[in-house]
Parts: sequence; C-alpha cells; structure tokens
Amino acid sequence: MTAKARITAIDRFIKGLKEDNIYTDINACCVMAGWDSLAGALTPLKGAAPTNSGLSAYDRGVGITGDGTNYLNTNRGSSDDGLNDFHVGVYASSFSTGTENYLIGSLNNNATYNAVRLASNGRVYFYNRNGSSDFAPSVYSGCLASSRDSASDMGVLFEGATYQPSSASVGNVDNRDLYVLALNDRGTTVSVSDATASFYSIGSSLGSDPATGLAALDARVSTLMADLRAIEETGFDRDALAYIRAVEAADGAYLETDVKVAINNLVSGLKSDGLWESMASSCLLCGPRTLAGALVPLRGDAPTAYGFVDGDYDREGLAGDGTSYLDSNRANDAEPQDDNHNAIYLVAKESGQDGFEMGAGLSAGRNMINASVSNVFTRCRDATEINTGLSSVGSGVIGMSRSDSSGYTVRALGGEYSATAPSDGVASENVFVYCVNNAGSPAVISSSTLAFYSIGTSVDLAKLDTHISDYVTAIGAAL
Amino acid sequence: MPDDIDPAPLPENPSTVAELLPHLPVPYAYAKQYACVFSAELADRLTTVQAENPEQFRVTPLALTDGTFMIRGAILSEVPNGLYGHNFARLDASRFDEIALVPWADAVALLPQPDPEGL
Repeated sequence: MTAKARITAIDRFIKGLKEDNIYTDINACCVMAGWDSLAGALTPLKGAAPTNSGLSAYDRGVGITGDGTNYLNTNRGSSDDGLNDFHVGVYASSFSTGTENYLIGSLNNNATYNAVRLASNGRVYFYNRNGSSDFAPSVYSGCLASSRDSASDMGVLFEGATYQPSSASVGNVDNRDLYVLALNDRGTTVSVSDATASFYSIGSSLGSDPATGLAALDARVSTLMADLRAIEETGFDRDALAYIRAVEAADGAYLETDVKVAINNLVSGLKSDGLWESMASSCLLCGPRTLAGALVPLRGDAPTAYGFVDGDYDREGLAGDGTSYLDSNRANDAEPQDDNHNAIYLVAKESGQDGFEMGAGLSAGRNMINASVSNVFTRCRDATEINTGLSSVGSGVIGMSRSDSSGYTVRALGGEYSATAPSDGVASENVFVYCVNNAGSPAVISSSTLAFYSIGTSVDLAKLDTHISDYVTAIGAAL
Repeated sequence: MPDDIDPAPLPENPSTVAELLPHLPVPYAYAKQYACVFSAELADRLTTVQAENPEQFRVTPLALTDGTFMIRGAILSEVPNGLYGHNFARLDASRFDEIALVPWADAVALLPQPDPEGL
C-alpha cells in the first residue's frame, strides 16, 4: 500500500515537471526520500549517480542527514551546464545556520561559485555563477534554489517566494563537481553540514524565465516531499498528527519518521490506557528539534517560558539553570481537590542547590515534587511534606496521583509509595515546572533536566510511567 | 569569491550589555557565562514592558541580596531576532550600558538561598 503510494507520488512528480516544461532542464537529480534504503535514495532520477563519502543516516520520510563529516559528490561538474544557463537547487527537511555549512556547492579555481550556503551570521546565501543574494530565514526547511538564463538574469527561490536580484555572472568556469551537504572548495571538502537533504537538482536554466521555473520546481518538489512524509504517517492517530504538525511549524523543520512514530505510539498508548483525557496540561520536553517545538503543548495550553533559551534544549531534555522555569498556565485548582496528578520525567537531577521540580502554593492545598539529594519529597493537595523514601538518584518518571481525600500515590524512578496524607485544600496558583509557584513568583528553582511534565486528574502512574519511559527511550534511539 | 563572514571577536570581559550590542546574538556558550545585573528601576521597567506585551518567552528579574536584580546572560543568545526578540526591541537601548555583565557564579552567589525543607 505505502510502496504503491510512493510510486504514485514519484510518478506524479515527474509528470508534473514535464507539464511545467522543466524536466529537460534537470541534468543531475536525486530524490533522496521515499525509498526503502539509502541505496535507493542515491539512485539518480537523472544524470550520474552521486558518490557517498560515508553518509549513513537515512530516513524514508525526510531523507539523508549529514553528520558534519561526510557528503555526496553529485559527480556533476559545474561547467557541465552553460555559464549563463544554469540552475542548482536542494530541498532540505531541516537545516541550521550559525555555523558555516553548505547544502550544496562548488567553488572553482577561477573563483566562480555555485552554492546554497548557510552562513555563520545566520543568513542563507545563494550563489549562481558567482552572482549572489542572501536572506534571513524564518523557517529551516524547504526548497532553496537559483536559476540563471542570461549573464544578468538570476532568480532565487527562498521560503516559497522567488526573487530576481541584480547579480551578474562572472568569468569562465572550470569543472569542479558540486557536493551536497558540503562545499567543494577547489578540490577540498569544507563546511560540511548536518542538515537533512531530501532532493537535489543541477542543470540548465529552469525554463526561459528563472522566476517561473523556480516556482514550478518548488511546487512540484514541495508536493512530492509532503506526499512522502504523509505516506509515513499512514494510520497515525489524529491528535498525534495535530501535535506533530504544530511541532513542525514551531521548529520550522520536519521531524524524522522514527520521532513521529514515537509520538504516535505515545498518544495511542495513552489513549488506549485511558490516560489521555486525564492529562489536562502536558509538554514533551524531548523529541522536537527546538525549544519552541518542545513547548508546543501535547495537551492543554502552551506554557510560558521564563529565561529558557534554545541552547538549554538538546532534543533529549530541557536543562534548568536554577533561575529559569515554566509557567504551565494550568491552575492548580483546575482539577478537583481529590482528583489530581502531577508528573515529570527526570533526565538528570540538579548538581547544585536543591530545588523543586514542580509545584504550586506554599500553604494549604499545595502541590510539590522535589527530587532532593537522595529521596523524593512530595505534597499533593496538602501542606504536609512527605519523604517518600523513594530514590531520586537516576532518571525516570516521578509523579503523584490523588483519587480520594485520605492519601495519594507517589511513583518515582520505578518505585511506588502510598502516602497517608489527607487533603487540606487546593492552592489556586498556576502550576510551575522547575520550581514552585509562590503567589505568582518562582520559589526554589531547580537546575534539573526534564523531558516531560503533566498535570491533570488522577492517573495510573505505573501506566503513565511505562508510556513516557518508552517514549523517552524511543527518542534516544531515534536521534 | 564569496564574501567572508568573519565576525569581530567577542570581548573577553564585557562589562555591560551595551558592549555586546554589535555582536548580538552571541553564542550560547559565551552568553551563559554571564548574568545581566541591573537596578530595581530597570527591573520594574522590564516587568512593565513584558506585562504590556505578553509573549511566550519572558524573563523574571530575580532579586539579589545586594538590592540589584539579575536575569541570565544566556538571553543574549536569543536577541535581537530570537525567542526573546520582540520585547528586547521594545527596551531602551540607550540604557543597556546600565546593565552590568557579571560572571554567572558571582551573581548566583547573591541569590537568596531558601531552605527547601522550610518551604
């Protein structure tokens, strides 16, 4: 079924390029997503097969991910196409700027330059026969290309729009091969990328008008890539898909298939065990590509981040620093006094001052999770602190759930404890994560690294632990 | 030949945020070495700007024991165009020389240290 769908998508892509009269302008091209293997991804649609220097990370949904060391030699020389009749393009499912790297490029002996460059200043530079243009990205994926049909007419495709900068071609070209995920700098491989490349194309001018040709290429390639990604999502849960789309929008890039499968398995599992509806407010602080993506809510409202920056986040957790915290924007009293849970996934406990990982209120009816030096301390709708005796050393789910007035259950890193602790009210502050909310101000801020939080009505903590732990493990394996 | 993009070297010991303005955003590893320390008046101003323009990414000026306030220097890796860019643009840049850059450990040492057991 999916194989047939992939073939249909490729067939529609090729027919579309032909309808747009740009297929004959493509002289070297690989569709690097949608195939069952890396070998399939490196089978050329047109032209010579590329030579792989050692790339191995292949994802059927998004393509080939660079490792900062290896690259593809397209085996297409820059002067195999005319000086003033040339296009070069790539589709990246994810890329980053800030460190110098290239999606595709060659720099020739006479300094003629053809490339899509991701620069250390955060901008994207296009070079076509040395004519250049640059832009500040707002998303980190998509089709990026340039096309030239005369000495003075160069078109650029960036974030779905075409531009025609006044940028003349320069000089005679020699014949350096263009590299994908690196720059061939006069025979030396430099500025190797860790982007995910899904498609490349090199050839003559795309049609007789660069803007029209580039727009056509963008439409066809973007549709193909959307189709190939969607095929990998066949049968996904509707809420999982909605979350994935929201994360990808926040990230500005597309998630790997294994990450999406992990998300879908999590959502499906939470639903099948009756946990989903109990989770009123939750974020997966691991899996998405960026902090902005990690703060897309799985359930409920988005949190407000106080002080966290993207550098604190590494796809396996969000590291606290003792001053930063999240306001979940979920009031502690949004759930009934005797029907409540709070939970986190602890990746690494703080090394400095002891802090609270989650909580609301400092008097009656308060909630608190504190992975202290060696033990887990809790409060759940109760001013009295409980030393659960459960170990806080290690990583895993720490949660508490109350379903009646007499006491509550704590689960921490696989152990369980039943607290006899009558509820004494319910504090009304929003629940803060990485600290406790004291009348709107953060108190006892933690520097722990967390991968998940959840707030809601009472849950089966063992089942929640299983699903969240499986998810964290799957993300670790996927990256 | 493409233009070389060779940013000016970062100051080794910047004393105020104003010194870093030409370099923003600065790398995370560099920015997190510092805390931004400022007066109560600037803390109030920062709080007001954020209250008037609520964004998903905000800062909380934390009171230090010497009467000043701090936020983490890592924020400087996310301005002027990053996660904290919107409200950064609303601040009075002429007063950035009033925001001292202090080594992170020195500022954290001035945070009140509540006893979690007593809370």
